[in-house]
Amino acid sequence: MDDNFEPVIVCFCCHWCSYAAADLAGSMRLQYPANIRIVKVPCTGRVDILSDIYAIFYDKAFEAWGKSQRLTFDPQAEKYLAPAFWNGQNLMVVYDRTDVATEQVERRTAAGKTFAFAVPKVGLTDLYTLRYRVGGDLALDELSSVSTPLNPHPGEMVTFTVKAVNVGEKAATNIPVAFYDGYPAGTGKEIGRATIADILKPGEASEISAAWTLPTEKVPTGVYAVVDPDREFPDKKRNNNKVKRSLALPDLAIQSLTWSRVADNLYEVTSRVDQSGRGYRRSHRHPLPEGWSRG
Amino acid sequence: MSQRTIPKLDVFRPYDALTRMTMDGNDTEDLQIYAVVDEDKKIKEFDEKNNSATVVIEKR
Repeated sequence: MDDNFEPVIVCFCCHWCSYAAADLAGSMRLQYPANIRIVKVPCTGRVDILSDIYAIFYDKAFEAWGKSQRLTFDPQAEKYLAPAFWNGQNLMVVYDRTDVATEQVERRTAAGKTFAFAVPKVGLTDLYTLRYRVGGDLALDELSSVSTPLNPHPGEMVTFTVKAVNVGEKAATNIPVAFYDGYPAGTGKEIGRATIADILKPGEASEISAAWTLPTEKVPTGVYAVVDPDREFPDKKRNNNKVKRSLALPDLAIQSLTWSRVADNLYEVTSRVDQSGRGYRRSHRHPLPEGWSRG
Repeated sequence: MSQRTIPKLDVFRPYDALTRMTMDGNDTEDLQIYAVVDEDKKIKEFDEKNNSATVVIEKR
């Protein structure tokens, strides 16, 4: 280890705050140590030794910019991009991809203090190509689908709300969303239809609902929503157009678990099992297993 | 260690399941009991997180 180590400190200074402070210090003729190097960056919220390729697309027909799309997902650093369009539908990018690792090093200053830090270590660089198909892609967000009430009774009015998202690069308008009781491509019956009349730009989302009275028979039931059910819009991926929600489900619960001593070494344990869900009517019989740790 | 079947469970009509057990007279430690309903998740439910409970039997 070098006892006379005096680190060169690189400061990444934000254009909007710390760089202004450094500039002011210079104007006031204040001095900072000679081993400091300042690098001005637009924002220190994004300073990284790694990188990925992002793109923003413009839909000329709707005069709409989309949201930033991430095109690579890897721990390497991408640089020196050469993008071009091919066939009007394909973005082709040729770029360098460099392996970047970090190495833990320790250094001691002249004052005797030891510092440990990770130093980026650049590895091999290779030439890569990327092809990204540009087009429309409407989807429904599965995690955002919700029913009101959450677990309705059979025969109760329920509102099924879904979120349609434009995950493609083309804007769309007058987008139909259909709701089905049962599997749409099978025996499912359409129970409602609504239209997103606004322009849905790339990256944008819109919530849409349908109200429906749950049947008293055939519970639990599966309700589906499908965006663009008649395939009117060009769509890169069809498997993200549909969401399902199960309604009128049962809800089994152990309400309480208690014990009492019957005799010296004899104990009685009582488990109270409750069904507070909606799926089972009084006359319904269903076997429920119940497990104990020791019998 | 043992399992039983509840033949019928009505909505909001709880079922009390009783189990008797003997403990070794030499056991001095407390015993923790777990009860689980639909352990194998055969029934699709609205909430799967309320299916178990535990209690400690104190020997003292």
